[in-house]
Amino acid sequence: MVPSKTNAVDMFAMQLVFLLSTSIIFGTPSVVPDSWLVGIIAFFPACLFIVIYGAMLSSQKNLGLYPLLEKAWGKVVGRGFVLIYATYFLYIAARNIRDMIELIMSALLRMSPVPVLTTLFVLIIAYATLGGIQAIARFASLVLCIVLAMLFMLAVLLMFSSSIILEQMLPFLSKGIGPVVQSAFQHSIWFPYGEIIVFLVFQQELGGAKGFRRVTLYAFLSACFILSITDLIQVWTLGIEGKKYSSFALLDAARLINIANIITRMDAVIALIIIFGTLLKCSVFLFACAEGLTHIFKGQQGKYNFPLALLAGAFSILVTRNSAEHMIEGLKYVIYTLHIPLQLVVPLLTLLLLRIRYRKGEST
Amino acid sequence: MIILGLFIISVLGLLFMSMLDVLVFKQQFLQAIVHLLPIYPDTSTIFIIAAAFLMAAWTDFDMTKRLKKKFGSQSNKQGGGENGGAKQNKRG
Repeated sequence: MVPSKTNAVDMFAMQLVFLLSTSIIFGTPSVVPDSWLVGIIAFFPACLFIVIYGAMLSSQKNLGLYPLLEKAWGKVVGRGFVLIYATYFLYIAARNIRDMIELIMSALLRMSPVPVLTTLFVLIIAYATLGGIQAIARFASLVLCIVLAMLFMLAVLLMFSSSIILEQMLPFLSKGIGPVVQSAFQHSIWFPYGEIIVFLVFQQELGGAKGFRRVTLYAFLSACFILSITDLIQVWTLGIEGKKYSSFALLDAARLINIANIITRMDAVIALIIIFGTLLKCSVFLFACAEGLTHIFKGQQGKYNFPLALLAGAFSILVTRNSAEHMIEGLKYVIYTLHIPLQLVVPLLTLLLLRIRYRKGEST
Repeated sequence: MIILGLFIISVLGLLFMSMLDVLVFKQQFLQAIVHLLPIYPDTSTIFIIAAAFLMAAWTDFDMTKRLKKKFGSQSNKQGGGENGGAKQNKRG
């Protein structure tokens, strides 16, 4: 059966919400003074992912990531890689759930027990994945509208409450361009841009290499623009030092909203953006993980969703012991041990192997 | 097969996490994995993982089908009873 294709607009919305979701809060490292520039600089090398992944897809008639790995590495090693990728996607989903739980615990539901929140959330994620990638994509369009409207409302309310002070972004490039470029290469390329590798899993449903290149480029551009704007809002409201020492800078910025003592405590809006974004991002990761397991162990894809979602929930509790450890691990160690090998090294080697094994005319 | 897949992916996931703990805390691997096992820090994770395996077992062993086979005839009778009740109501 030929899978039905997803609308390009839905796919763009899905990729954009995927890129924005947790990176709005955790994306740009705050230790760099001009963090808003990091996202812009990271965009250019991040386009390399589009080139590599696009070349991978077009080399084998738009096969998904898992069949490509098997074709390139052989059945045994290829299946090993499929398992590693499935675990990687589940692990990233668990980290994202933890991100959201940390934020909710500090902003909204301080007294609620973590396992209850986590279980309820993962059950919603599992339910969202039951409809398949097309249903997730359609849901993404709605979420994108909500997220953009909320961000716009936040900026306007901050402006009306006189919290935006443009001079706070000065001094500009006080330590030179070096740390900004270094930070872009060390963090922002891999998270969030590199995580787009998950979309290779369901390329057959999403329109193949050509569609992937075009839509992902637009999604990267839009994400770069929106992330830079949100970073600027954080700097304009909190100042460079305030942003540096804040765990959830955008949340703290939203707390500054006060219009005539009537409209206050708008931090819940940010929490809502994160909840919607994480719901979508985790659904995509969970779906990709379930596809991987289906690829190896066969059976119906939908049957894996609920058990895997619960496992992701349990992992999100086990993954780190506290918030500080979670951030250090996520923004430093995970990048070197998981993101770089699985987002760049393995795909590059796979592309190389595919080019060597299946030259033009001998493909498949 | 769903249980097997779930078991393999949970073992791999625990290995991923313990590997990162080895790097972050400079602990020995054995110490890191013992700290990660679901008995620590919170027993609630045991229940979540157990629920995941229970769900996997339920679908793997086709429990819905088996239960329908075993108790299906009774529920049909009950359904008939309800319909009968509806008919009686109509007559009334």
